[in-house]
Amino acid sequence: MQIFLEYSALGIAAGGVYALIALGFVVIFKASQTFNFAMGEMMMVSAYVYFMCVVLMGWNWMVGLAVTIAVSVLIALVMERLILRPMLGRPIISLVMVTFGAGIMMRGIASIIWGSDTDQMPSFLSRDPVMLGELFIPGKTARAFAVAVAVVVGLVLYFRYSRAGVALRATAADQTTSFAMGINVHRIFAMTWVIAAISGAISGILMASINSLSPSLGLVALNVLAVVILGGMDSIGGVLVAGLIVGWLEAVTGYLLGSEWRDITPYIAALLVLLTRPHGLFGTKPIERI
Amino acid sequence: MTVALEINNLEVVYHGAIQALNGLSLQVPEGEIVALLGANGAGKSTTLKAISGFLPLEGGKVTHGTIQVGGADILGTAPHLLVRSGIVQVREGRHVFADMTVEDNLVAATYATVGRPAARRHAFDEVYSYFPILAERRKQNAGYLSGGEQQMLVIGRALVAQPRLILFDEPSLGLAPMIVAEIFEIIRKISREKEVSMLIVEQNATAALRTASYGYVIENGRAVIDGRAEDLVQNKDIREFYLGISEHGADRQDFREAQRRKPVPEWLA
Ligand SMILES: Nc1ncnc2c1ncn2[C@@H]1O[C@H](COP(=O)(O)OP(=O)(O)OP(=O)(O)O)[C@@H](O)[C@H]1O
Ligand SMILES: [Mg+2]
Repeated sequence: MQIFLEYSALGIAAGGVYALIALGFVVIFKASQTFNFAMGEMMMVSAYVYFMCVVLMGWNWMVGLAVTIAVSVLIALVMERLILRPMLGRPIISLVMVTFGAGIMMRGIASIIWGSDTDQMPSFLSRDPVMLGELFIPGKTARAFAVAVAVVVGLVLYFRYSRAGVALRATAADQTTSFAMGINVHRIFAMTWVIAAISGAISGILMASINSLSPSLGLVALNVLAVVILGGMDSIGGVLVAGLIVGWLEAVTGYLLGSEWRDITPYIAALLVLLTRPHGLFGTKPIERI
Repeated sequence: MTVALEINNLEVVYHGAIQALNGLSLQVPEGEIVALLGANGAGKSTTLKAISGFLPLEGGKVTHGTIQVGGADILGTAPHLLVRSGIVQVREGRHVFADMTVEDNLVAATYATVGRPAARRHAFDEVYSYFPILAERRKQNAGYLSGGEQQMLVIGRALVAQPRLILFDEPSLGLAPMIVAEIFEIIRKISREKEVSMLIVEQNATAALRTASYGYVIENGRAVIDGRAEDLVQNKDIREFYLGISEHGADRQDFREAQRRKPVPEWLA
């Protein structure tokens, strides 16, 4: 029982970062119904930028974080402006392929610049373990969880209560009408990419701190797709719950059934949920008045 | 008399092939309500979209003519910038944000005041005083409002935008006669109290001409009849084709009413 609980706590802790990554997917999907398959690579590049700032330049971690977020936002805005905006109105599949291509490119460029072997990330997270009663949680994991959840909750509250949040929901619901309300729909799209860039930068650094740094760091983002599907594609709040569920499922099935089950269980769960709730756990169902 | 909206010789083509407007000219005097009548496909909605800048989104293009609001040329201005200058279109089919609360629908409309001084709280209070029912439903999702309440909400959104010119596209569509009368009453009140000029497209000519001071009838993309509302009501052609009152006594009103109130399928709206 003790071990089960420990695995559970570990899984939930890992799920916090999943939620942060998923938020990056969801916020873009919500506004423009596009899936950004370069999300993982945005994380990976951010982690390298942070690595360069802190290790190669020797800067303070806060300066490194600020620079990393700035670079990540810049990359996202360039992608949005140069690649996605001209594609607006094309079939969704072309948009998706474009982000996929951009991701592959970024991975290639990262291998050229930084080499494809693994680097050790100096962590700003303390290693001191956290004890939850009898439960032992490794320090970095616990602290990464706290950071990730704080960022997700902050963003969720921001979108729930701010005017920008209303504009995002309006744009998601009906672009033409939003335009007619004076909402600059393009600006909203750009804003979602900025949010994704911020969540990508922070989750990238956290992932690299917990594990290690290599050009394939971003592949974890594909696992997060299960979170996004489970939470319901367009539910910003849903990612938090779904992220924790997936993190927990992975850890617990890994412990109970063996690690080969780890990666597929989240997808089995997502499929089961989809069969009964086509819009995920928290996705919006269209209102139908009869 | 100063002119709020002036359209001269407007020609509009969709997809480079379909001529929807063909030399349309009309005027809306400052602070007045003008009705724009015409059969299905005459080009009424196209006229409004040309003014509000929505044509390009639907593959339409102004090929000739001018549109001036308050003396300034507005052709080619992006829709969101037009709204921000006080030119507000209330589109056909209502288009509330169904999954958002009534109040959040109004919040969304505050973007129309970007770049202008706006008192948000005050604007909402004003909407709620014109439409008390919306105040009661503030926290409710707009999708669950009745058709009439939704129409009130979209008019409320237009009010929040601090309009100087409102373009209405069939505000009576799909509503029962009593509600129609109520809504037109409030439209007139808003125009009077807020000194807003209005151009109202309607199938319901009776209601529109009762509200407007002037009217145009368009056919095949150009104005064929125009005049003061009280004169148009007396006009024989208009009585026959738009008011459904035949000089021979046969009354087509019921048939037209029935037709009008058929629910509009979503893909048409
Ligand atoms: N997006 C479009 N693409 C092509 N043709 C269009 C488009 N919108 C309108 N038209 C055509 O332009 C003409 C005028 O249409 P418009 O919508 O302005 O008519 P309307 O007077 O508003 O009619 P209704 O009373 O049915 O709303 C019609 O022949 C219509 O088929
Ligand atoms: Mg029309």
